[in-house]
Amino acid sequence: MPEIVHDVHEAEAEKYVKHHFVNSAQQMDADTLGMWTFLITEVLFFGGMFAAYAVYRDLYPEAFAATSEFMNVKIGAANTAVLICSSLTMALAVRSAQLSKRKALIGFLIGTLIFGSIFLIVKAFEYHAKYVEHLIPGPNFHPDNLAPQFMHHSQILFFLYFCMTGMHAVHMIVGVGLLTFLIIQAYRNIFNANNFVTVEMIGLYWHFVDVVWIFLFPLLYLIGHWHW
Amino acid sequence: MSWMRLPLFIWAHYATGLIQILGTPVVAIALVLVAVERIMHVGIFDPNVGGDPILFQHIFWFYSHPAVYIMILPGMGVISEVIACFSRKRPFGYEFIAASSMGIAILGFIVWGHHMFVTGQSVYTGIVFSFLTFFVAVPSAIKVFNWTATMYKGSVTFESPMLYSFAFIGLFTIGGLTGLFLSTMATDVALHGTYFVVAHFHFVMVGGMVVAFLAGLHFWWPKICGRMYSEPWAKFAALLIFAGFNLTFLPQFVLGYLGMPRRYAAYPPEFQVLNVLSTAGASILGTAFFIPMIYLTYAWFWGPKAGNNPWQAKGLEWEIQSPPTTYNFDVTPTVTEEAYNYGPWEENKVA
Repeated sequence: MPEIVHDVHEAEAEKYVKHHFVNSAQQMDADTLGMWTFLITEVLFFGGMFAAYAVYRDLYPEAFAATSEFMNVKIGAANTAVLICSSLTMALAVRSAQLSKRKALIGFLIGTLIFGSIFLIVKAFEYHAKYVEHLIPGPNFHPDNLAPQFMHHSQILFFLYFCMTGMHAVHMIVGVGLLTFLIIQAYRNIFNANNFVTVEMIGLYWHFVDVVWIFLFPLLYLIGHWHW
Repeated sequence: MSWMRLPLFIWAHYATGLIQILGTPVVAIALVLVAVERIMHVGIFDPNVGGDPILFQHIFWFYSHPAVYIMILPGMGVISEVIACFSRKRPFGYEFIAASSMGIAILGFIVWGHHMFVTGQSVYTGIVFSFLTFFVAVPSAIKVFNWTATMYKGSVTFESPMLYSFAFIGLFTIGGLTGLFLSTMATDVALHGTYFVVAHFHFVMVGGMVVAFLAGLHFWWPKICGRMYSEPWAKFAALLIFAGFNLTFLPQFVLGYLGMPRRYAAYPPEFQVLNVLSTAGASILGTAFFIPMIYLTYAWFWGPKAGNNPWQAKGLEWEIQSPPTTYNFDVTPTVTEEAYNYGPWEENKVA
């Protein structure tokens, strides 16, 4: 089994050091710190919407529970499974890059790309269904079978639904673009045991976007199905 | 170079960077929510459609209170540099000045509610925010005491950057102490929305940040352009700015205390005298701000050559030529002596 061999290929690794770094270890540290810093800003960015959600869920619990019945739990659950699979293939892609396995890397990246695309296509159909059912907040908001006293507050949940899943989808689209870039680079045989940091960093981003969805799914889809 | 050899200016920027990274995304999402609310006409913040304006204030101030520390912290870093240089001494309690920058950055994130004492948050929330706000005074006071202690028994000279630093310490102290009146809920209920608040934040932001900016500008101008400005004019401008500033904003403390509200063009006749004084001060201040623009611009083109280190200051930027070359150093420099190694060389030198 080939292991990750930093020490033997020390000189080899230095080939990939950009001019403003002293050595590959420093470059790796800087890249990792930068990515985690970016992810922290992302947590705070989504945090504003989660704060708004917490406030309105607390203010209008019944309206939110009633509105959640309009979400399609089966599709949401299926999409959750798709995203979790994409995280697995992404993790395997990073592993393949570290082991210099080019074919496996390309395969897992394409797998991740397919899972991500499935998620986005399903999401598009879900949005379309909401549009057909008049569930877009605003003047055309006419849900069937919603108690009239919830009309107003129900729109707030749908507003948050579209903001949060929409912002998540934007991040997914960016992720799909990054994966395409990675696949092209992997095809050109750029990545190997000495040069995998790009794959690992985009992997971190991909996992982060997944984790956001893991929070969104129960908060938006499941609150009406839990009665206490 | 190691953490405890970093210039305090860099420490201040490190703290500032943390605030920028953690605060800015929150105001970004507030903007997104406002935009979508306007487009889709659904209440998130607008009470007419079931929204909650207090929520907007919370998200807004979560960024916008730390934002004032984004402004003042680099200024504090400049003052640490200038005072050390013109006192020819290592800053008193270097580690504490560095740590207090970080302390301000962290505390700055948990005090935003003091902007909202009278805007509908609960009294108990207000008490907690009031209590936490008092804590910000601690790291700020550490800095002020350490700057004054740095000058004690130092070889103090009165170049223009140092004059601005003196102005900073005085004005920032007044700005900071009047902040305590506003962080006390009982007095804030009376002072909220009055000219007292206007005077308070101008003492911190203009008396603090703008004056510190001018101190830094004069300190590093010979490094930036390689030429020296007219020192007599610089001293004159510094004194005029200090005088004009105080004449503008000291009367506003009194006006606010007497109950004159912000954001109104008209006021009762008994406030006339203080308002005229303030306007006169503003005219002096405005004129005074133009003077540096003139002599600094003149110096940029026609000033005498400043040399690499006109102040005999310590720090890596003074080792290289003025103005600096594109790649500052041919090889990454290794720092083998303590930061601010002023005074007799052999005595302080680290092997």
